[in-house]
Amino acid sequence: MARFLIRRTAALIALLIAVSIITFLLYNLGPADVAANTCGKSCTPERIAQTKVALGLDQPLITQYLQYMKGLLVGREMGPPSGRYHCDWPCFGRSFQNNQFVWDVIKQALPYTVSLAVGAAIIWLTVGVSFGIIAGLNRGKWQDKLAVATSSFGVSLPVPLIGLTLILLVNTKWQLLPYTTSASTWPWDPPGPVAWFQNYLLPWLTLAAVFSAAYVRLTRANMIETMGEDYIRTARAKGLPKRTVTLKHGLRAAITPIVTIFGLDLGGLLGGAVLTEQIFSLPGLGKTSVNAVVSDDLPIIIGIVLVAAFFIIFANIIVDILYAVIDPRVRLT
Amino acid sequence: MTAQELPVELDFAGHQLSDSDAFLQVRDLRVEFPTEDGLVKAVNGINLDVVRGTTLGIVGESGSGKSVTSQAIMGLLKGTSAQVTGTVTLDGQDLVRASEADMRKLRGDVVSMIFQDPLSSMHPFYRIGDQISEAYLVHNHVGKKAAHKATVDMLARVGIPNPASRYSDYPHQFSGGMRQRAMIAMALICNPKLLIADEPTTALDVTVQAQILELIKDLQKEFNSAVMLITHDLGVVAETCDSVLVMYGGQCVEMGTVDEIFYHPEMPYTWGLLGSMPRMDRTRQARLQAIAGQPPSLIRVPKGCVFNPRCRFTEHVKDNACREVHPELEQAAGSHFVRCHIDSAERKRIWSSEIVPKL
Amino acid sequence: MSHQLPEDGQSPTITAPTADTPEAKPAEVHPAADDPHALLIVDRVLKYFPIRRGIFVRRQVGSVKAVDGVSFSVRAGETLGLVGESGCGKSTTGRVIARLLDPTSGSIRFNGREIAKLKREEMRLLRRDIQMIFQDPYSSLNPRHTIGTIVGAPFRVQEVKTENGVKAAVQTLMERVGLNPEHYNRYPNEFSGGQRQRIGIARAIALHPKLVVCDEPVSALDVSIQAQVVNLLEDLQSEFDLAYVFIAHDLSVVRHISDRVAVMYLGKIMELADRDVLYAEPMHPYTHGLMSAVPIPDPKKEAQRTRILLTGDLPSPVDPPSGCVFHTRCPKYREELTDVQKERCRVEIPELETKRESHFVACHFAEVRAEVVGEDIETPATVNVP
Repeated sequence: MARFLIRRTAALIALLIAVSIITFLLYNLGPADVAANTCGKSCTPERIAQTKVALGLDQPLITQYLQYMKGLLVGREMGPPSGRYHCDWPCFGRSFQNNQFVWDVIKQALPYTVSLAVGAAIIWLTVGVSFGIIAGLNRGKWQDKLAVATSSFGVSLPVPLIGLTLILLVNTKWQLLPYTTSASTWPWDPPGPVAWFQNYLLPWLTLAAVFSAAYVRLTRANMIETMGEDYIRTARAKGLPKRTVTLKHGLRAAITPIVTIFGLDLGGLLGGAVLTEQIFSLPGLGKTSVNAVVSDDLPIIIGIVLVAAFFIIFANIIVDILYAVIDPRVRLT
Repeated sequence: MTAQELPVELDFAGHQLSDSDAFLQVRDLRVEFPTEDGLVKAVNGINLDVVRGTTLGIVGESGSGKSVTSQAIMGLLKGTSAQVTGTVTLDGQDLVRASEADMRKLRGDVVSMIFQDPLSSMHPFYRIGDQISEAYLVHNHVGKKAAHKATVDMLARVGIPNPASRYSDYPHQFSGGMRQRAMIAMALICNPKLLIADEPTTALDVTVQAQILELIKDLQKEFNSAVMLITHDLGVVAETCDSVLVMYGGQCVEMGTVDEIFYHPEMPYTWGLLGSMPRMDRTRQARLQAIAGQPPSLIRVPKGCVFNPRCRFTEHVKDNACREVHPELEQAAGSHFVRCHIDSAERKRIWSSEIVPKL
Repeated sequence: MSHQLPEDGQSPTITAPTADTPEAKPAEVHPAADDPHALLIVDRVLKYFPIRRGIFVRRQVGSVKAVDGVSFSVRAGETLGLVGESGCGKSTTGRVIARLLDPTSGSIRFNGREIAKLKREEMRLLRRDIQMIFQDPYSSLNPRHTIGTIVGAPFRVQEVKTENGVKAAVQTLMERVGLNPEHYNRYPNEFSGGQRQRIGIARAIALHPKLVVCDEPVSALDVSIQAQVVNLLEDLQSEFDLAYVFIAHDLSVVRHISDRVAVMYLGKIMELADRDVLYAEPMHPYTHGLMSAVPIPDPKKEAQRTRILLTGDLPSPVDPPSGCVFHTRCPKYREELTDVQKERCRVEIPELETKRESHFVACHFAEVRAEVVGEDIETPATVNVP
């Protein structure tokens, strides 16, 4: 098991390095003129050239890359000779638009995305898996058909439609909940957990509606396959009660593909749920990255890309570990 | 009298059975599965007895219904689309009409089953010792420690070395023979009175098979269990069984003691089985006596005798009865029953003059 | 003559010269493979599978010695039975002969030509002459191809011209193996196990090969279907003068179909002899144990037999026992040998040697035991009842 962990952590580091190289190359070889952007709109060509030197863009690529990595890991000095400043780690540079440190921008946006993603994930996982179990155990009967139909309904509606409908009905018409605001970040911060819950409920339902369908189908298919396995027959032949057979023997075996997909989905979502954040006006990573793309704000874009990559790779490792915990054949061979 | 008419308290030789004798009695068991292509008659009227301390072998090829019979007896078909009719009496209790809750109490405790492939029949994610203890805990109100001890003792009893440390191993860490021993331990941990073994050695090497069959025989003697052994291997039957039931197309076509079946078989299918096996102990024949054709469809069961499309001896019966009339299971000798239209004396003649010389 | 154990990255040394160097005098071949009339000569073939471990850089730490030095010969039109239990290397040997796997070292000569190191293109032409039938009729046929495509593939792949077209040739083949030629366009899942195996056979003999490696072709079939397929294989053998390497674990079937039999254990051949000699007078303790373990469909004989039980499980081919690989389970070692003799078994690897006329045994203390198989003793069934 230890060897397995070491290998996976090493893979994480290697992948992150690879992603950083790619993003770095995009940054420097891409179409945007970094120096001009940094300098500002009303810059003369001489000032642009000076900025170039200040930013270190005249140096060889490899030096620039190493400087960038140094910034990421321990922080570095940046800026023109006259106005040097220290950029704390992780240093992604400064936004072109408002000169804020990129990391500060990300830090601000993160709570919204995490609250959104984690809450939605819990909902779609519980709903998806339980509907899937019910459907799988009652194959062909009404429970099966109903479960599959409801989730298919959810997946076929586009996110804006679900979101806007919910806002229209719940916020505007019936006035059950206040409109979503950016006032609520973490549940432990003001205005408090209840407000946090109310704030994120509609966005969670919107996202969960879309993801549940896949989970219902996957769980259903896995349950059907697992319940047909020989060891389930043995469990019944031993005289075990039905619940033990279904959950202890059946579900544990069926759950592994779901763990994999869950990790990927959650990891991806932590990079920003663009549509949902936009609809509900939550200034998370998704909304921030859209704004950055629209205004060519490269440092922010690349910062968010790296953060999102980190989340995805990290989620993959957690999934691998969970896999090894669930299935002893993985960890012992 | 025919099998269907026998009252439950008599065995096939017409002897009065006391309560302690026939442990399992099956009368007119039928199992049907409705499918899209039609009604599959997997088991079409089976009668059998198993007495404690003896072994009944059920011989048949794939599609003969032998596995479905055993699953019906264990009640494993309850809750599926299968329709089970007939009587199955275990120690006086009717199993077909029993509820699922009652069956669960019996399974693993009074009647146990071991399966063909021990690797797929054990849960890959749980330790072997835990799986065995689980069987013990479900039927005995004891603590985990007691169950653990019982499991270790049982693992030792079935011949697994270092049982205490192997308790914590997973199925994939055992070899094939050890896994089957563990499976036997799991089935016998509650000391069942009837053990059903469904092709227990088919997936094993022949030297391991010999060990496992020895083990089953020893354990049977020790626990005085009734054993029902399902197999397609006549060699295994000859080695372990006291009585034999030959199944074909969901029906019993011949049954009797092991000597009767091997030395005086009277059904063409049994002849075919004996003739199509290459033997190590006899002079080598130039050609195997294969049975032509394929096993029958269980949906469109052949009219008349279920074996008639492949039988070489239908011309010994007049009026085309083989293709028209379904033969009943009739008594040929004491405990020997045959389902065939050919006259008994004629069958004995064919056996000794035509079949035996070619074996 | 020794051979080098190949290190990772080194090319294996071949002990026998290739046919391309006619000046070199043919070097000595293992006696079990020494047959000038043979169609196939397998000489000290090894197949090791490397085991790699390591966190970042996977180094070879050991190997699975699947085939650890086998030698035998097969003549045209005859059947060599290769028998043994799981893990003995018989299937791997079959695949190496058919060049589906490359041997780690050793020589394979087919029709006098060295084929162990042939490149892919050269081997391709040879595939007309060497074919293979597989064990599992359910997974060895592509479910998306029709029977016509499957059986016709050899013609197309080898670009063989047929008189009346590939379809006619395929239908003739189908008829020959007992299938209905009208089922040309059906898919494998519409056939039973026995019929699928016939399809596999039809494909294998399509181009009239000289040698067919049969890897457990009847193990997955019912007894009555087994007999049909075995009879078919025998008929085809005499009709097309095929040589078979028949791999199986069922001693009875092997006895029926083979002319000569080799018994394998943990990658090595323990005994090799003519069929009748092997079954009547086996000399190796493993052969004794194996034959003793086979249940005989005769209750009285079964009850009277003296059983030689092999204890324990097969050792791992990664770490085989020292000296004679069988000594850990050998009943003779356990019960009959002195300490000095046991030492020899533990230390010295027994070579496959000629003990009697074309009867090779790999044992230091081989002796004939005839009573392991119940011979034709008088039973009621064999006595003629008037």
